[in-house]
Amino acid sequence: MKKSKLGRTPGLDALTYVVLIAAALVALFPVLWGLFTALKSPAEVNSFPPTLLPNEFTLENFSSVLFRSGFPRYLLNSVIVTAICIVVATIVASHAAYAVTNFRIRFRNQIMFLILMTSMIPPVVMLVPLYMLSVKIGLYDTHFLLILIYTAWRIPVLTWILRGFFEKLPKEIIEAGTLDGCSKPMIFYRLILPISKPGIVAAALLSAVYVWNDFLVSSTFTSKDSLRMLSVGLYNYISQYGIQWGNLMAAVMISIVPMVILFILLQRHFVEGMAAGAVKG
Amino acid sequence: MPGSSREVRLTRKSSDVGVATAFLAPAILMIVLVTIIPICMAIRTSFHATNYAEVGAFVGLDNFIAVFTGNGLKNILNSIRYVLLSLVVVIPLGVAIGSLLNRKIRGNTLLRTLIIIPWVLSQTVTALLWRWILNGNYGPIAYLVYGLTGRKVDFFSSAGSANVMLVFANAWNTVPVVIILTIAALQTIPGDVMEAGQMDGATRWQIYTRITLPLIRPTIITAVVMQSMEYFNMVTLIYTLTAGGPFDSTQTLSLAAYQNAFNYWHMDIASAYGVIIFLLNIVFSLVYVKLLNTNRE
Amino acid sequence: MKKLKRTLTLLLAAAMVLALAACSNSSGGTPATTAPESSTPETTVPEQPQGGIDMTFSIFLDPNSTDDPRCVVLKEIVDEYNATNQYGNTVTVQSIHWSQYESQVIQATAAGNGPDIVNAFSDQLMQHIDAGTIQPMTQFATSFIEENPDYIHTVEKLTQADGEIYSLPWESRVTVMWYRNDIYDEPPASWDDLLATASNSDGMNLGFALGLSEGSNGTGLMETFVPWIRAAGGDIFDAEGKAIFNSDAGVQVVEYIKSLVDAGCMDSSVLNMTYDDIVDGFKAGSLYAVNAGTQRAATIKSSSLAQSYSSAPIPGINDGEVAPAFVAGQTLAIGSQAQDPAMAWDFIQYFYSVENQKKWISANCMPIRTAVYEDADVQAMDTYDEMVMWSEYAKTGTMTFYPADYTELEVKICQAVQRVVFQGADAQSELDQVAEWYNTK
Repeated sequence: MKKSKLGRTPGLDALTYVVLIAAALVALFPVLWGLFTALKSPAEVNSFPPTLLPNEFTLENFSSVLFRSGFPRYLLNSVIVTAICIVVATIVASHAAYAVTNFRIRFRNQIMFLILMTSMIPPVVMLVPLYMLSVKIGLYDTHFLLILIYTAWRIPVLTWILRGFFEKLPKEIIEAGTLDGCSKPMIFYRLILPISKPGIVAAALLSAVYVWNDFLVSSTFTSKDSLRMLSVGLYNYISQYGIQWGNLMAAVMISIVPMVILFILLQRHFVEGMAAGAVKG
Repeated sequence: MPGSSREVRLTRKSSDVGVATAFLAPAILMIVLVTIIPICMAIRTSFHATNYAEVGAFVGLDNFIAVFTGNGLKNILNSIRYVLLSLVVVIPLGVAIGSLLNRKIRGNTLLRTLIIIPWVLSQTVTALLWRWILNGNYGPIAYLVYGLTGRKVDFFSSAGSANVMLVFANAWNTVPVVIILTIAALQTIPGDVMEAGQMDGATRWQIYTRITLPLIRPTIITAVVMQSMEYFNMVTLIYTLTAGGPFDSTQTLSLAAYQNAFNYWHMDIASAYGVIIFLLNIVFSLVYVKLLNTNRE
Repeated sequence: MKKLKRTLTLLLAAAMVLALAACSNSSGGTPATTAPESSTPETTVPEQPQGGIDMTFSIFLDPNSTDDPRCVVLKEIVDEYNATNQYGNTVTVQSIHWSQYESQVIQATAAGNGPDIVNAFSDQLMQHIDAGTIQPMTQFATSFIEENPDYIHTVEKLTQADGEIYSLPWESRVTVMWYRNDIYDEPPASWDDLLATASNSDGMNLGFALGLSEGSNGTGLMETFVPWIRAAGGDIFDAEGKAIFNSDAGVQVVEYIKSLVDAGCMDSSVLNMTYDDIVDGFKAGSLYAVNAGTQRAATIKSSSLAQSYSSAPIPGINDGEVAPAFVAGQTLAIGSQAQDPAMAWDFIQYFYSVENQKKWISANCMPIRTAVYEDADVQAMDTYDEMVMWSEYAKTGTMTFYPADYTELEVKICQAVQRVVFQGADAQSELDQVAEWYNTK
């Protein structure tokens, strides 16, 4: 709409397309390389000169990954852990964010600073002590532990984003609620949460991608095959016997599908939510 | 929790204290449990000797001395170079592509989705794919270059080009985040601001550089800070792509911490690395807060 | 847009259902008709009246996978043991991916739930001993070796510095030279021969390549460095475990590797090549010869140039000499927290039967009992001749058990070699530095 007064600009449009299509090609080349590798037979995978498209398409790699390996279980584990984690993290973080934006508590800045600081502690450093702790408490090798760690590590960032979002909400909503005699928790649950969908979606999607792809935590805190998540399961195809590129790439392609679909479904809310959260910082 | 009993001024309803505490408690509790306690343990370990997972005798600053007489300084420089180079590539590229994607052109939803796909690939997969594609002996890019120029290219054999490749793979994986942030920020700019610029007879480029960019500056700063933290703490991508080589030129602090802990079982040295990373992160976050405060003005 | 959304939602839902369905399939809800594996090991255990003990067995293989023939064999052996052992014991496999293997077993033991039976790769055996995950089995092992003279390892070779035997190998692999028989008529017979024939690098192809990257802990170099330093009369460690690779022999090997680059056999692209990359490059056909373990045979032979690959012993210094073989292997040990070591041993002993060795051969593992070579079925296999050649070559070397801090040393040696070969550093002083670092630790 805002462009209407500037008139048509074929030159700029052409440039835009050139740049964006070039960017899309660079973005997609490795992904397509992986996809076509997954559709090749073992004999063709390493052929040289390299071919992009398979000479003969085969679905063998996909069927082997889906029906003759532990991969479906890893996929299910990843879905479960990721889903619970984003729900819990979003609930906990939205409460915390609301508390720091709408209650005039003391040490508000200090609390926010503490929360922010903890998001900057490198995960590598905490793995070893956390491992020892989890063993002592008896939580080692449970999905509960994974969910606890992921959730706790995502809370600071989510609180930060959601706080930005809540601060941008019109003050009138809260005032109107207060006049109607709503308590602060009621205002939060009945008024704020329903209109905060974009912020929550942005926060949830960011966490989902993080948990889905993380390797360090899921590999350190689980050893049982039945608890393994996707990101670790991929390593089954990288063995002392060589990298099984066909199977590996089939597994990778399957593993990114849920995230891509989630992104396509949520992208409008996602951008909106990021807009509020990030601009505020 | 520190000070929770005196959180409220006299004018506040006392029930607010309870509610605020209840709202904050789960977050604080989890952070203390899963972040604060482990980091305290790591700090303690950094002053002790270890044998596998067992913490042994107190050794004072020995572990830190070992880090700095070893690769420590080099690691710090590598980390800083990696973060800065990545930012120099990722931020302008992300802002530029984000701005173009925000234009109302046909197919921009499709293009946006395609361009953002690399973001959902994990660091492991990113590194494995690029290591194959860029391999000097059998990778497709090297093959193309050879076909065109007759010369064999070798992307990972010198410190300089290995760093460039690493930054490139990182950018490929993380530019989408900056693109999303940019689009998000651009969508909050009201149309009339642009129109005002238009009235003054400014060109598109002038509008973009003098009005649009300053308006999204806070977002760019946020992106810079968020990404620099992530790059500073990155392990998996570097570990899989170059393993720190050649000649330790891509061995960053975080990578050294990881290798010491999980390849060599030097939990003590790894903890010392961890404390150093943590201290540097504190410096960063102070700068972060300062930058964000200027954001608010 | 709305329609697209609905379609995608449906797709997502379908994917979840598929995942669930496929999952229940592989975790054993129904005795599936298509999938050969019907369930997790726990559920296949038949009822045993005597009431033996339940033991855990940690290994890097996954009995639920059918991709790797070794997984199938493992499952067969464990199921048979559970069904037939006289005590009514049951063994449950705890599969851990090999890249995480040592750390997870060490961590589990630290947590007090260490396994009864531990699979340990020979390179990492000392690490297991140091970290206390396994216990000695000297008496069991000694009498086993006495009773089975066809077992290829001797008591002497398996005894560690403290006089105990901790584990028995159940398969072996040896690093051999793989070469393209359409490029080279004969495998190189000596160092000079390799240097001369492999200088035929052209275009993007290399005549020979070693993986010099420190990735995957420098194994791309070390599996060749060790045979060559032994060929030159040196070794990595002396009897007391002191580093002695900075000897004349060590310097000679490093300088030879440098001459391979100077002569154009390899170039600087090997700097970032790991063991995996070397094998991939060989399969692609752009590396004409590489040194890699026999365990990679199956993947090498699955590539498009399958007919053009041959293997031979790694050449030694002089004509007709071979470099003493680099031998490694998977071994079984009794866990330090085993409920009943005698029962753990009962399973281990079962695992080493000639019958079971035959099964491992069918899964491309080199046997450790020569009695299997007398078997008619084994003699009829395509790979029989090659396998016998590997076994013969394996006898020229010994399985070496490396110290727990070997990983770090490997990386440091690898980096020293990189500096000599590509940055012109002095071989003697580089090796001296690493050896001194190791010996003063």
